[in-house]
This record gives sequence, C-alpha cells and structure tokens, in this order.
Amino acid sequence: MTRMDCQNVSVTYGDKPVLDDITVEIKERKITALIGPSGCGKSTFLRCLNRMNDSIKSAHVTGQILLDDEDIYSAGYDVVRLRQRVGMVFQRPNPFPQSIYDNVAFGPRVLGMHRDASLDDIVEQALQDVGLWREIRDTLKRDALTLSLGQQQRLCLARVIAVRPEVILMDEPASALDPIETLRIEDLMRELVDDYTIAIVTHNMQQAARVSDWTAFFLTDDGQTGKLIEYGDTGRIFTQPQDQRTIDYITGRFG
Amino acid sequence: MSQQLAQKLGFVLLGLLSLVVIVPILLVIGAIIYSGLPAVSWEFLSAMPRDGMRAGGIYPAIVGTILLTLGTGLVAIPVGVGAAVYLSEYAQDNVFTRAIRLAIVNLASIPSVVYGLFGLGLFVLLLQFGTSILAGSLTLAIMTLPVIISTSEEALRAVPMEYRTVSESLGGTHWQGIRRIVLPQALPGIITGVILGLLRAAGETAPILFTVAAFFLPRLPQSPFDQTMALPYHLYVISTQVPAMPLQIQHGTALVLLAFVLSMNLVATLIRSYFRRRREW
Repeated sequence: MTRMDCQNVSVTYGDKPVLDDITVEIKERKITALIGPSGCGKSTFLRCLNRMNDSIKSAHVTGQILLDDEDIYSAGYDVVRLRQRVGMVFQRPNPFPQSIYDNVAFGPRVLGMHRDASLDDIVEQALQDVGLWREIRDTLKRDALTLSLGQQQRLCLARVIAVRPEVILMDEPASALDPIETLRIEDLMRELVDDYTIAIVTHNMQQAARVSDWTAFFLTDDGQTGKLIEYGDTGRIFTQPQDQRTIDYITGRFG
Repeated sequence: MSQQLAQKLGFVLLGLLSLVVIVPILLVIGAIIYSGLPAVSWEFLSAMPRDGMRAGGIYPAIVGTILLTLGTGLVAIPVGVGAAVYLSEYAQDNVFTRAIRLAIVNLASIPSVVYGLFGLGLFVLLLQFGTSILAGSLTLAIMTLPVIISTSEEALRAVPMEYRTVSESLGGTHWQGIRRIVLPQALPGIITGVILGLLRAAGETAPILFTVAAFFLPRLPQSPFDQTMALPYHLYVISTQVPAMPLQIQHGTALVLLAFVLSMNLVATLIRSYFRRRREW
C-alpha cells in the first residue's frame, strides 16, 4: 500500500531547477531508500515530504504529494499537523540542550498529548522503542548532550517517535556515527518498520541494500537538476538494474 | 631583533596597556571607599536627612533609587525583550524593520539629558503624570530600551537555527519553539543585557532631573505619582547646591551608589554562572 504518493514533483530555487519531475511511492510500513551522489537532490526531495523546504523562501514546489488522498502542498493544508504525522531525523544528532527527558517530552508537550496519557509513560515507551531505556533510565534528568553521538541520534529518533508519527524521514541519519552505532541505527530501522513507514536518504549503498525494501536512485546530469533514474524493489535495483547509469553507480564507477 | 624578543616586548606592552585601563578604576573605587566608608553607618543608611542634608542619613534617596530601578525594569523588560523576540524571530528584512533597527541604534547614542527633556515634555506635561516616579521610570525605561533590545536580540540570534527547525519538524509552532527552546537558551544573555541596562538607569542623573527627582523630601513616596529623592541626583545636589556640606557625606553617598550598582552587577554575574552550571557545559 502506498503511504505517500508523489507525482511529478519538481522543485526550483528561484529560477534554478533542482528537482525535475519525480514520481515515487513511499510504501506503507516499508523502508524506502533515496540514493545517489551528492547534489542529486535526494535530501531536497525528502524535505518536500514534510514541507521542511517551506522555510527556504525561494523554494517552489510543483506536482502533487498525496497523504491520505490529500495534497500536502494544497492551499490551507495544516503544516504543523503534517509534521506531526511525518517526522524527521536529521543528519547530525541535534538534541535540544536540555535534559534527556525534556527532549523526548518536547513533542508530546507542544501537541498536548500528555492530556491523554502520562508523559512519563510516553517518554519511557519512546526510549524503549529505540533501545535507550535500559542505558539511561536512571539518568533522565541529565543533559542530553552528555550522551555519546550514537545515543544522541537514537534520542532524536525517540523524540520523533514520542509524537507517534505515521512516517519517519531520515536524512543520512548514520553519517556522523561510527560503524557499530550505524549498525544499531539500521537494526532499529528494521524493528521500527513494523509500525512506521520510513524514508531514508543515504550516501551509503551498502546501507541502502541492507535496510531498505524499495530504492529510488537520483542523479543529476548537469550538476544542478536532480532526476529520478530508477525506482523499484531494492533487490531488483541492486541485482538487475535496468538503467546503465544505475549499474555504473552501484558498481562504484562514480559517486 | 629576534622573533622571541619582539614577542616578549609585545606582551609586556599589551600588559601595560591593560594596566592603564585597570588602574584608574581601582583608584576611583579606592578613593571613594577610603573617604566614604567612615560616613557609612546604620544611621546613614536608614535615617532621614537632617540639618539641610548636612547630617542624618540618605534613606529616602536609597529607597527612591530602588523604586525607580524596579519601575524601569517593570516597563523596559517586557517591552525590550518582546521587541527583541520580534526582531530576531519574526521580522522580515524590509524597510520597516531596517528603520526600527536604525532607530534603536540612534536611541542608544542620544545624550541622557535629552531623554530627560523628552520625559518632561511627554510624561510630566502632556500626559500630566506630573513630576513623579511613574514619569521618571518611563523616561529611564525608554533610555534603557536600546541596550536591552540589542543585547537580547544578539542572545536570541546566538541560538542555533537548527533548534527552531527541529522544533518545527516535531509539530511545534513557531512560537512554541521560541518559548520552549530559544528563549531558555538565550536567557543568560538576556538577563545580562537587562541588568546592564538597569545599571545605567540606576546611576543616571539627567533623565530624572526634570521628571521625578526631589531636591529634598524627608519622607518616603506614597504612590507612583509622588516625587522621590534618588541617589545620583542627591549626590549632585549635595555636591554642588548645598553650602558647607561635609565632604564625608558626599563620599559616603557616592559609595552607597557605587555599592548598589556593583552589587547588581554581581547578581548578574551570579545568575549567568548559575545558568551555565545548570547546563553542565
């Protein structure tokens, strides 16, 4: 089933086209990997999915991105609500300079979720979901920035999960982490995909091959405008790519 | 000349230059303490002036300065911090906001006696607050605003953009991100700016000259519409307007004013280090 249906999405910064005519389906409870070399627009595309490009004034998005049959770029669409439904984990771990507890509780607090369930329970559940609970249950009042980078990134994931989103976007979530921490994040993604739809941007082809169910390969041929070259089942993309450029990229001839 | 020697000479020279900065401050403070301390007693701090202010205490002036500082803060802090939040978090870069910024910079460079005249014209006469604590506080608040606005705005801008982005990515509104993340982060800087501004207000004479200060008022103010004595103006009066004034009382008054200002400074430093320690980095 398709969770987010992106049809003919194009993005321009001012008069500079950065993404041209992208049509991709983000499948329900699957991991979709967006791969491609630097500057191919894959992060830009990811940020379209929860409208994080809105803050860039010159950015202009055309095409349709449907969530529950509603175009998230339609006039009057509730962006705050969209971001609760489509959460995001960033490239560098970026916990707020507050306690571990306050970090996870941030979303539930601003959304008023604690009126229905105890905040303590929400925080505990989210930390358990990312495998942090055992490690830090006794130090919840500590500053989040005292955690290791890998723990910080999992905390950021817990912070998103606490909001109970439907889709989680990850923008190269492991690129600042060491191999062991990277593996933990990947394992975590495989566990979370039972409950969440995940889209991940990654530079790392092995990572895409290891964790994802679907893969979209982006490329730019003029160094400016990103295009979707191939999209399909991850197994097929990596074993029987149709396009010569995909073959070249995944066999490491460039990128 | 060898490189090492040149470097040593440079260090010595720079060290001497910083001494030049410190020495006059220490001399002034030392002189005031030396000649003022004998005058300071419990009676000096807690009694009304007597004998045409040549004896007794300076109690009403101390109370007046504290009241004026509080009144200034009451007006200047919400307005100043609010303006800083607007400029840093909401304002677009356009002609209007550039005009505001230009106005703030210019306000900061206006001589304080001009603020005094402005306060006289607007608050005392036009709005008919009379010569009163209200008029004086408002005048001092306007003078303090540029300091509070620019230091607070700087503190807000120093908070990484990323936190605002993350807050929005979690479904927070713009304001929720500001209130829960940005403002707490900027708070130490804002507090520093606020206290610096209030310090200046507490020590100024010219703005209160026409708007609130009483030459001699041997009782405490009863309402915001009363006049009051204040330390800086009192010091000016007893130094220039009263014949046969014992020097000790002048220096004692200066010492009390200095102690008041320095202790506020100390409080600012303590608050800042408290916030730093709580953040543990």
